[in-house]
Amino acid sequence: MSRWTIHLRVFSATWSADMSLIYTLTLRQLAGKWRIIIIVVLAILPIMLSISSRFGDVRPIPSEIDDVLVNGMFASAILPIIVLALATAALGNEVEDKTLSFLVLNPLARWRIVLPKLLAAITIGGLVVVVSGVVSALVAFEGDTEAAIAIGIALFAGVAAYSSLFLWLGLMTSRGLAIGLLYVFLWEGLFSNFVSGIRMVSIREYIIGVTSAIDDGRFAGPNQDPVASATAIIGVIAVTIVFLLLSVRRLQRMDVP
Amino acid sequence: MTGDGSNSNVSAPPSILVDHVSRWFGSVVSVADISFEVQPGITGLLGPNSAGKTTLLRMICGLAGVSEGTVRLLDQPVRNNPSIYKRVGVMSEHEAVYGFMNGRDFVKFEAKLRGVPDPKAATDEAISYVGLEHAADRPMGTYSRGMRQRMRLAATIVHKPEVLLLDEPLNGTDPRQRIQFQALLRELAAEGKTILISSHILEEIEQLADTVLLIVAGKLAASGDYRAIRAKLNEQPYHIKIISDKPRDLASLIVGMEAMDAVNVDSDGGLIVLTRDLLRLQRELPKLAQAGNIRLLRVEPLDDSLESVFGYLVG
Repeated sequence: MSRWTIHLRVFSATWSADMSLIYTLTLRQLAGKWRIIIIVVLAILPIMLSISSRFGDVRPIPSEIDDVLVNGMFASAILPIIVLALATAALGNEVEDKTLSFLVLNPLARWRIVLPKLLAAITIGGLVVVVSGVVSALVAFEGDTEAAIAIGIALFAGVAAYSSLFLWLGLMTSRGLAIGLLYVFLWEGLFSNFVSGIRMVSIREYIIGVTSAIDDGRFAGPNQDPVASATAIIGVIAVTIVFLLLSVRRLQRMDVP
Repeated sequence: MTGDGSNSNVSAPPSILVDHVSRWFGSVVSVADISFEVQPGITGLLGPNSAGKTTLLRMICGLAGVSEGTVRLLDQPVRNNPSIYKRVGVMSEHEAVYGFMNGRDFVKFEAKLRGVPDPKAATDEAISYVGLEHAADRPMGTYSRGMRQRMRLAATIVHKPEVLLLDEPLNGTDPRQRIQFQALLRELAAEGKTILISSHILEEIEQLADTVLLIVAGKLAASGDYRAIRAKLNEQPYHIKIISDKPRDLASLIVGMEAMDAVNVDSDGGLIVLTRDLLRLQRELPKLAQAGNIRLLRVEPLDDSLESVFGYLVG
């Protein structure tokens, strides 16, 4: 029996029909018309930028594309904003709408509610961001599939980490969206650029680190210094798991409206 | 059900046990040291608005934690014990629903989450129980308030729970729906279910529950057989204010009636009548006014609110 078969069996044993119900419900909740329009528009922006840079008069060098497209657009803005809009809503809207009791007043361990919620946010966010990232990379790097795969995987890792963080934020406060934006622009965008220690605890830096780990041609410019591959990979996994556990704990202890 | 243990069945554990439960939010005490037990049948949780009924019900069903004390449902702890919800149905006070879902999908969704063996059959049965087959395939966002309440009740009972906790379930229902709702609850009680239903409307509980818990300002003011409590309430005179064009003439006529405790004239010329026989006053007052050629301008009870009625019990 292969390792993948074992993993698949463990996953099927853990994943139950009730979790599928909550996953499907959440996909439906998150696929509201306006939310989808906004995130699709955001996802189209980097593709437009790639097309204009590819066919413009002055061709940027790869390190500039790394900085502007991957770091500047995706990791610093588009990815976190798209994920923020989805993940804070996944549980936060149930709290706001007072429908969370329809889930918690059932014989379900709390993690069986939180995990499908998280996976639903990752599914939609991942799909939009990864497709946008891969298409943008293929255009900007002139069909370089290694770059496109590296960027796709790194962005997916970033979606997972940010989703877990913002899912928890949506449970902690009704102002998740505002606090999340402050976090993205102040912590990830500003402080992590200037304070070197913060880079070790920055999801944006992990995304760059994972990109560079998969494709060593990325972020290899003289002024680019991504965090170590191991730090980036461990960081993404740690953030995803820690905030997933914090969300479960929060749901166990909070007063559900 | 008892507050003092006088009516409890000592051999079987109570369906609901609330033992010295308190809940405070910062410095505000919402529920203060309440203890009672509930046995099968319909028990009314009665109290004025903001008395702490909802907080208490939320603690009983596990949606909120207690600051102090113990809550047990079916002899099990309730908080962080999700398996209890296979045997318990809860209808919260909020009228929120998943507006995009139709009623049938919503009830089936809840049936599946509770592990009902045949969710489709259970859903059809629960929906027919609340009489909403005709609207079951419409999105719940298009329902009236009363329909939403009934569909939420269907979702609450779809797994045939032993204990039902209903927070103001009759809110938003019209008189016909209210009668249907009450009949439903009586049927469920006759099947041996334990139903705890909260309301701030005395008459609503009077028609449904044999036993009541009266909550005033976060405390258990009285508990037990409804008729005994009602009798205790009837020992207190009602205060009625009567405005007329000849208050002194009317006062002398009312004083002559039986079962009138006192008649006073207040500063703005209105009469304050204290009586234990409200029906007699209602019957006789128009006749007295007609006989004395007195024009009645307004008749209003001064203590008809639940707060003042409960005030008699606690004060």
